[in-house]
Amino acid sequence: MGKPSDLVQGTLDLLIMKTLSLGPKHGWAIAKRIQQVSEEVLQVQQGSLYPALHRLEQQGWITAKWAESDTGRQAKFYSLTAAGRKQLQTELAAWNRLSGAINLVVREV
Amino acid sequence: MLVRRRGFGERLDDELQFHLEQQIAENEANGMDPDEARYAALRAFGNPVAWRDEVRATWSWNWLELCWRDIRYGVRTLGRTPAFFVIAVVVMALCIGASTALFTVVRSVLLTPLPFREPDRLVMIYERYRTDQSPDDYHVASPGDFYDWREQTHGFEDMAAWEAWSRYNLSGERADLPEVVHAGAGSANFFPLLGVQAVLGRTFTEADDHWGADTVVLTWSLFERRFHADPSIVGRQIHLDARPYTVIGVLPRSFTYPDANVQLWVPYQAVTPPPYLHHHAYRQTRVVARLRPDVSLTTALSQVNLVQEQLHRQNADQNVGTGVTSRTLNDDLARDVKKPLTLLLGAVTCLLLIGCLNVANLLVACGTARQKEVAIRGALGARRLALIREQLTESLLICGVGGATGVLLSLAATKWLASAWTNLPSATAAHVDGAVLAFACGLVGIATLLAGLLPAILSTGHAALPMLQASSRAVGGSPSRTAVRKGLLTVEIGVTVVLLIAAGLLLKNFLRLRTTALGCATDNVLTMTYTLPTQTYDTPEKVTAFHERLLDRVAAMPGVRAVGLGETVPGTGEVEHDIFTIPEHPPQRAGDLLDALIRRADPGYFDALQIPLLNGRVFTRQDVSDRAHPRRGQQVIVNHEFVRRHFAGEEAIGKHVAIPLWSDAQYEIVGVVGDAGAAADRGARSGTAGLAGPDHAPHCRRLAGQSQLRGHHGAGLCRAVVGAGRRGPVRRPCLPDDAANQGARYPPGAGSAARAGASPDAVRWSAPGAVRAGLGHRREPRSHLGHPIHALWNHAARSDGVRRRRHHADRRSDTGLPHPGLARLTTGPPARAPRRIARPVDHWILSRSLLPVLTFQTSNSYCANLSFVNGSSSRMRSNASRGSSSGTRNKKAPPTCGSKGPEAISSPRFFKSSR
Repeated sequence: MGKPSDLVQGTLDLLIMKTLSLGPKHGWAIAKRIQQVSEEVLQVQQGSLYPALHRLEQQGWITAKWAESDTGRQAKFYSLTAAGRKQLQTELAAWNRLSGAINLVVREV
Repeated sequence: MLVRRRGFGERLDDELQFHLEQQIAENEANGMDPDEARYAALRAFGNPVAWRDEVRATWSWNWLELCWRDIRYGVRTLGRTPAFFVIAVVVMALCIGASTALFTVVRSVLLTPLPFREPDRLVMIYERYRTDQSPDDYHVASPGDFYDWREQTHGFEDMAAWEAWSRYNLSGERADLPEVVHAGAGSANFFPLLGVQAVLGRTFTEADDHWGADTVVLTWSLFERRFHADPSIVGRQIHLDARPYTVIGVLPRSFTYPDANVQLWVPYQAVTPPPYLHHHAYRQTRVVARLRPDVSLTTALSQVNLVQEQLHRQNADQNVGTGVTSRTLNDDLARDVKKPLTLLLGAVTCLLLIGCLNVANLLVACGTARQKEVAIRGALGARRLALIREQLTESLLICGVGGATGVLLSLAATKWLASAWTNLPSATAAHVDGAVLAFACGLVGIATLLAGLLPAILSTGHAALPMLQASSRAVGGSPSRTAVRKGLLTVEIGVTVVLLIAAGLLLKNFLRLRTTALGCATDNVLTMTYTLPTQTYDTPEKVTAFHERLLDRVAAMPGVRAVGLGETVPGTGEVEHDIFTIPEHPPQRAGDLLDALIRRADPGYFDALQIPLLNGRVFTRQDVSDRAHPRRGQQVIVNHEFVRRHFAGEEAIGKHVAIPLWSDAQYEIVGVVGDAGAAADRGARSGTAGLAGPDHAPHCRRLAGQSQLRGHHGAGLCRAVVGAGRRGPVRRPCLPDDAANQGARYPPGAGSAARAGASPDAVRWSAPGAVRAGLGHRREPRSHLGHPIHALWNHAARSDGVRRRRHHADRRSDTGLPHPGLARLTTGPPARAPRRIARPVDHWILSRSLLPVLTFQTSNSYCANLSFVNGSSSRMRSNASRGSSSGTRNKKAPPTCGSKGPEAISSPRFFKSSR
């Protein structure tokens, strides 16, 4: 049911925040963007996406605003807050350290 | 996030819808036809309801929303089965109400520390005897012992003495009626030792603490009620027993030690005559001591013990304790009620358990009926935890509503307990506060879990399909569920049996008590207490004359078979006991003292109570009048037990006893009577035997009047007492109170004595006129009016002006009409008219409602206890049915209340009920 089993736990937040660091987007656009950039490898299901978005919003890392989308319909646009940017840096650093370490181990074998 | 929840939900739906629309648009762009695009998008999207729930779970305050949803759901579910809901709520209300009420009382009586400085270092010290078998033997100390302990030991920071026996006649100032107040007498260091400071003025100093002292400290309740909380009372004079006393201070509101009956305090030595101050056998003093912080109780007590042992050796010929014992102040106050309270607490806990099990059982049964619903909800995706939570919410609703009702019930129950259980210390302070509410909430929580958890777990967690199939066949519960219900029932019956056994044992005790042969008549025996004013009856001759007149009048009443006077009735336990010697016997070994209960009785006493005369004779009137002359003969009558103990194998008649504490005289034994009330008296003090001296008024002790009355006989008795006084030495109608009131003009019937109520807000007053009025009233109306009368009476006493009552009473007296009840006169609604009343339930009601109001005492007066025996029960009935005629006759009797009758008089009571 869309559980990001192929995503390391906690990386969805990182992906969302990274995506949002480029500018405000609505949920659909965020999912599409992650899908495109990862060359269709990462498929974010709405069952994971929206709870994650709302959780990040509750934590104050992203903020939301209703605005008109390109189709002319009202949509909820998320954008990164200052606290969110800071958090993104922390998580990016942690991710780099973790993935580098995993890479080292994987290549060694 | 807490408010505008609905708006957030709509926005979320909109957001998810937008996502779906984007997906459909993309599918269409990829060349699908609209329907296919839509279905594909929906398939990819999954269950929108589930997503919505997942998102909402990330919101703050979501739990509150869930609770609210559960509650709404629970209310709807319970609303479908109103009968079940009502039954369960009633069960819970009763259980939680009973538990809360008892907890309120237990908390104020046993748990709340006394409002003193460091109360855990305060102990009461009592004397004890080496021969005492029971751990409950605590004997009050004598003044001499107290002063020696205080001087010679160092384990305690300080010791103070107090006693609470005195009663004073508090004169009315200005327009107030006089009333009887109970007073405590405390040594100068008593209040400092407890850490209690006067809120106005000061407490006693050493300079105040002497014989004849005229300083008094008021309790807050008296200050507020009687003196209208007027601070200028400090420094002014009030009159107690017609003597001026200066008010030097007012105690704080929190000080109701030892109980709320004590209305004022006088110095300790003011009530202890100097000859007794260093006496070691005159025991009436209670000693409170404060332990030093660095000394253990055992060490401190052993020091006192040493002193007491020495005192015992030095006073071997007197009744002096061989050692000392102690208990904490809280235990001391709760002495008689700790065990019953604990017992009751255990009983209500059992009751609560039974109630919970009952509700649990009902819920399990309901669960069976709802199997299908639960299965469907499970199949639709409800998680087990959510289902359990929902069912627990239902039981929380039941227990919550039950608990709220229960707390309301407990308010009434606490009030009732505090008023009905009169010897409950500090019960008047019992009130519902935060702690009690918290306790009730805790009970609700526990009850919810007890009643709801098991059924909830049981009804969920089954595979959906078999459940659906099973419930579609509509069979009764599954085997496992039946087993659980059986288990619940077993536990319930077990607890019930425990309760029943306990109740049965109590009942058996009660029955045994009822059927114990007292050795004297109890059927159709009425007793009453009265006191005579000392100013009027100032010589023994006048008192004796009054008694004789009274006995003649009562004996002449129709239906009266015998009448007698005595100090008290048999079986009332320890009233007075003293040591004695038998001159004809060789002296006792040192330290081995003979001790007996001593009662005073008149010639008719034994006949009236049908105590059999075994040998010799009873007193004669000559004996009684001889007692007024100390040099003439002195006689006693002893009981059979006394003879068995002290004159085994020899003739007791003609022998003598000497009572050193009284006088040097020797009393000749003139008769031997049966043991009356021996079981109860022995219980009071093991190993005592009765000894009765002839009744001699000046020796009479004050008695508290507790009363019950029955039909017109009670009225007649009272009338006889009042009437006997009417032709007494004083004919001029004046206030029987004191000289201080002679300036104030009280109309006749407005009364002499009043009684300060146990609780400050229930001030009651009464008067001889009122007694007559009450009795006249009592003669007429139906018995069940007892409670309304009580209420009216209280209302009248509290809210109505005294003047108005006096006015009515006055007017009725002037017209020669009887008082049909002051309460009725002052507060309006006339009581319904009446026939006769003579059933046990009547005096049960009366004894608890009307009559406590009519009870009063006066100090410094002579008193005697009047016992008389009615005829056979058939005669009693015939007299009762003749009530109306004799009532009419009585109505025409002129009012006598203005005359100087006995100062205080309690209504007659059935001896049997007084046990």
